[in-house]
Amino acid sequence: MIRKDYLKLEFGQHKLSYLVLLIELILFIAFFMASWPNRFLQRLLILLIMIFYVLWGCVTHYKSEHLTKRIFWEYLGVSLLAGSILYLVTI
Amino acid sequence: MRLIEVFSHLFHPRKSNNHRPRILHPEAYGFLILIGLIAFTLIRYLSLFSLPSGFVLGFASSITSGQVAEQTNAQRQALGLSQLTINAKLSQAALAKAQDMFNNQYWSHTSPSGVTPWNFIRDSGYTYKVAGENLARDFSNTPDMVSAWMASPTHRDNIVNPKYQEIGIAVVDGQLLGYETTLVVQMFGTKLNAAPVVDQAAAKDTLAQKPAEQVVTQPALKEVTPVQAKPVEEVVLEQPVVEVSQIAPVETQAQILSSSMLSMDGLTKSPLFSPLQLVKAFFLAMILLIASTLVYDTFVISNSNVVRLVGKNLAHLMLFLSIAFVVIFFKGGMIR
Repeated sequence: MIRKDYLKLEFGQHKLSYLVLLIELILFIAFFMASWPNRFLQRLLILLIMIFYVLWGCVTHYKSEHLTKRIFWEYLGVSLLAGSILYLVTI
Repeated sequence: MRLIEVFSHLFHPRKSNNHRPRILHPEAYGFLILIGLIAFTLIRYLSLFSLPSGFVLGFASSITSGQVAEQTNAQRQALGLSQLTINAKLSQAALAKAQDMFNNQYWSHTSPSGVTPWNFIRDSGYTYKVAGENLARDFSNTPDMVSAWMASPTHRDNIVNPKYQEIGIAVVDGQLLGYETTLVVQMFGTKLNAAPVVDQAAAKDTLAQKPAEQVVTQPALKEVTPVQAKPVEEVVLEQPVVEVSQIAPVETQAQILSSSMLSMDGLTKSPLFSPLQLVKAFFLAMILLIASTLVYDTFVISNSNVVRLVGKNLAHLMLFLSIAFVVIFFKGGMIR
């Protein structure tokens, strides 16, 4: 099992960050579904969530003074992978 | 032994991968994107080839012109509007348009050579006072397609336009722009010499159920009175298209109830999977693999004393779960 104090510490230290991320992801899903069948709007939303996620990662790590180039590349990689999956599904 | 080593290097945080599963490294995400692109291309290309026993992979649609007409009329009926009758000439025009799109490989109201929907309608011998066109592709069933049209204000305007009295529908299978698909062309029209038709039954129903809407419906129908030497009045919309004709020849055309459905490529068996289903399955498997690795990595690291500077697993998990949700519930289909 994942240690509870590990999760508690992680969420406790970044309450606001995770809340923002959660709200943003819920909004993304809601708007993405509501914009069907407008593909242009859906792809615009994909682009926005990609940009948002990289920014979110950078800001969160910057605040905790743990932002490195490698972490930036990791968030960029994750958002590019997520974005390309969504883009290819909508083609 | 070697395989276990590789597997462990990819999925287990240890010294060789700097205590982070290799699959979660930034370079690995780039590699996964490449794999996704290759798989996507392969799936799309495979769907173009048929096997002797029929299609294993291909596009299957349950859409019929009868259903499209029925559900279009249901939408109109809900608003107290008159029912559209299927006109053979409009259906012929719709079929000609669909075939032209497949032959010339375009997805638009106007062909690359400038042929408009009105050309097809005129060529079919239908002389109209007002006409319109809705297009759809890649839908697997009629309700989703009609819902998509109704969700788009401009397409909805065509479906619930009180000026239209007739409809022509073509549902055609074929390959469009490299993809196997089902193309649906919906053409609306009112003959030039048509008298305004007031559906008494519908009007009574509307009066009984929705007295407020009766007021809206009646004046709209009055606008459809025959025009004489009317000046050019053309409404051009990006999507869908509507045109009011300026041509004035009076021609009597019998209304024939008919519909057309044509299979262009000899599809004899329904394919087992659609390319979209297979693409979804592939990407969901990829997301599952990454999400499982993220959970496992969090578990291992939370139970060890390793300190490392990496991205937040919980955030990545939240993102990938959201993506999985969208992929699962994404509905295909395009309208124009």
